[in-house]
Amino acid sequence: MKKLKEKKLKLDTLNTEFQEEIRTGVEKMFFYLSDFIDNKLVDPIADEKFQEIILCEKKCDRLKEKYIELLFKEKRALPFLVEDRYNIITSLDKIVNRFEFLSRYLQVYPFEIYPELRKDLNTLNKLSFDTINQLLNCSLLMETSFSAAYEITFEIEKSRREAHDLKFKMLNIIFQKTEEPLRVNLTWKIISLIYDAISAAEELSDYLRGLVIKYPSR
Amino acid sequence: MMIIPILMIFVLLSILIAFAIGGNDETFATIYGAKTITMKEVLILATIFAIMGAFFLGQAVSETVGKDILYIKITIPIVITILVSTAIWLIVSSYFELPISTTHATIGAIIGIGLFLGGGEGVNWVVIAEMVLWWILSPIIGFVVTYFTYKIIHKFIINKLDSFQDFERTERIFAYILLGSICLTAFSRAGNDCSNAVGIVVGVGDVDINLLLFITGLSLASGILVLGRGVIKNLSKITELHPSTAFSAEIPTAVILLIGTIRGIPLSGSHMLVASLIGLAKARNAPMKKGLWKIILIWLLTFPMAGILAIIIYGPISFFF
Repeated sequence: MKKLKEKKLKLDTLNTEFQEEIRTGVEKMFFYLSDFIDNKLVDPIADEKFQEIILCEKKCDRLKEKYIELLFKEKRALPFLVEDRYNIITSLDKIVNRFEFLSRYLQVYPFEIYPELRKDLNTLNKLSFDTINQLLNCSLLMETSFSAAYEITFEIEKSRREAHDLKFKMLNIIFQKTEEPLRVNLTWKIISLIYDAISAAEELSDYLRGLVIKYPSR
Repeated sequence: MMIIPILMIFVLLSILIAFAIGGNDETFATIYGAKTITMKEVLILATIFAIMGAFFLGQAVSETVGKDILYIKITIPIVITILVSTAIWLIVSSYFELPISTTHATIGAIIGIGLFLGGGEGVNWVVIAEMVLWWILSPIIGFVVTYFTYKIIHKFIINKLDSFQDFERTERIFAYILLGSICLTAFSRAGNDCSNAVGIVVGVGDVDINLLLFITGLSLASGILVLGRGVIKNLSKITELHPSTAFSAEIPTAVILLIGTIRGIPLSGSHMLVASLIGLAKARNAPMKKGLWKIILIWLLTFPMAGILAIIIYGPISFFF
């Protein structure tokens, strides 16, 4: 019994650390991307925020591995909870990986953002920051309140819809351009990468909603 | 002078049967399926409760099996025939990892030999009718009680849980209750099952029943330790289990088996447990393991096969004894 409680405590601590690390990474990504969109980055590679994003992704990987190792250490009671927690942490880690990929992509992106896209892209960036934070809150609430977590999943869905509209609004602008096809193509990719992170957040929130519905019927 | 060696043969055969019964004992399947305890812990607990149950509860059922079923005189070849045919059928089913009713195998062999030697009048049909009634009723009760226990637990407890932590806390409580009820089942079941091994020997008389029950308990435990894993693992996979659902399936088996054992009625724990697991799967609308038909088929075959086996091997055995 004592052993089980200790394991639970360790799991909770690791989960909190992991979530905090993601929050930090997401925040850094938000400011890094904002600066990039507004053309404020002097040197994207040397930028402190970029280095922190990379470090954060590495830390998240290590924490995830520790968490999974502990999760599967003793396959005791409630295997379904173990499986669900495993799915949640791996899906969150995938979102962090997306941000790390985006930050590296921005380094090699050889153009400036079209000025007419800046406002919408900043909005999309803010939406992505808010959505991921909502998702983190939602996954934490799964531990203590299904009903509160359930409500948040609808807010995430709403944010994803907004992001979807914004994405196509921006695509409509850049696809009208007849010059610099490479710039068009690479800019489209940035929009898609930000949108995909929001979409991945919605996917996980759908999964969490499914769990809320599924659990009482077990 | 012949009596002591013959009794030794009986006791050895009882040990063999108890060993085979232990190998086919699936009492701990639900708690193992719910991953509440490990196989090592299952084997330790099963061993302790098999010995205790056989010793403290075994006498009443043993006397029913041993003295009340046959009207014909129980001779040495009859006892050996019944013990050997039960052992053969048990070992065959344990080999295929299928849980069968030892009770049905033993009673099937007793009736087979009774009919073969004494015709319709060789068997006490009143006692058989009471047993058959319980055999039919107990799985039905198991099914129905499990179905409604699950529905009640689901409605009043599980449906009100609102977080992972709530689930963990509740399931942990159920895990402890489940462990308690399984130990109770193992205790009463050992008492009920050992009658199949020693009952017919008790019918011969001149044996120290306490010593015999203790030895049988040890053999039951050895059977669980050596052969028991397969059947436990197989049955634990019939439907997905966790402590609260396993508890719903275990409660009717524990209660009915305890009542039956105290009243001296030989019951099939296997049938009740499988019926309860089916009831559970139905209540949850959950899929059941493929191959359930094999378990049902071997149930249906047990009674006639044990009887036929007894009739077949009676000839050679009576030739030697």
